Amino acid sequence: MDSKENLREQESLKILKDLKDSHDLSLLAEEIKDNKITFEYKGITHRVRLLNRKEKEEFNNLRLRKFGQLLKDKDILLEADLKQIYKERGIDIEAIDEDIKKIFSEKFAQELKLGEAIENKSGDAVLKTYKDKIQELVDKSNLLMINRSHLLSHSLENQLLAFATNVLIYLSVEKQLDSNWVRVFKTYEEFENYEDEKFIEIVGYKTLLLQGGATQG
Amino acid sequence: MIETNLKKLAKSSKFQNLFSAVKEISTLKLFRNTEELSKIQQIFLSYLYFYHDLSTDVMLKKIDKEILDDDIYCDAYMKWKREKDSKKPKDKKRGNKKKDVHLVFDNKSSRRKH
Repeated sequence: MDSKENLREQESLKILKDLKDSHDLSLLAEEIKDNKITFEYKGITHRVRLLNRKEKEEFNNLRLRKFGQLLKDKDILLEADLKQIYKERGIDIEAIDEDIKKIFSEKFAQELKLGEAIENKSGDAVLKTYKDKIQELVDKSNLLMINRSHLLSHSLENQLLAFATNVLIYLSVEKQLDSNWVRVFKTYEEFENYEDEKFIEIVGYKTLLLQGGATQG
Repeated sequence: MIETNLKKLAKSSKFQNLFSAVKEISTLKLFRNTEELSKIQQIFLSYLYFYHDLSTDVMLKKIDKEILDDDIYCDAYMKWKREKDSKKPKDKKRGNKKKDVHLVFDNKSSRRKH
């Protein structure tokens, strides 16, 4: 009886997962259709869209101003300075970078061998050997990159990137008022102090889908 | 997760058929906007081309259909293909991706081949 119930439960979970996956795919298909994303939140229609020329200027001005402020603050270190301090403490980030390069190079070499084996129809066992090796290299490089990213997370460059991403979000989101579209946030300060974290998370995700990140702005 | 889902959509028969149809029928559009593609549209378009090339090679029996189900296999095969093509002498190189499609659909290029 127990094993039958377990089986039924597993089947139900699988069906739920399939339904969720299908729903996620449908949502994404909708988000791809246009270069703006419209959605409902608390009964109000909102949209996220690409920046126009004036907004791109505003984005650049805010980013430059922030860059100047960060540069004047002697407690905030440039990536190069952070790397130097880490090196003095025995953590060599340039060595980590070299390791990552070597792994990518090895991964590429393995991929070429795998690609050739696929064309030659070398058989599942051969393909799987290459695939496992590649996956191992991917896992290794991911660990190194996460570690590197964590070590440099407080650099001036990363702080500027985080700020620029927020500015992108602030500039990209509008709400529908009668038949007009108006900015949700009148100022960056209003955006910074906005308390509805869930809304910020939703518009943040949709902004990054459209814009790809603050380096693209 | 987004990348995985984008790949699923791009390799689906629905979008591959639409992609093929859009190339033949000028009034049919992939997106509502005709300019200023969003980042995700650009990535999706590149995946459409990617899986279109792979599907063509499956149809030509150059590779097995099962390869499409595995991202590592797909990436490896396309890198190998690009590397092989880059090493071909210039006169034997295929200059245009579309020619891959023409090998299947265009009588002219198949006559040239033989």
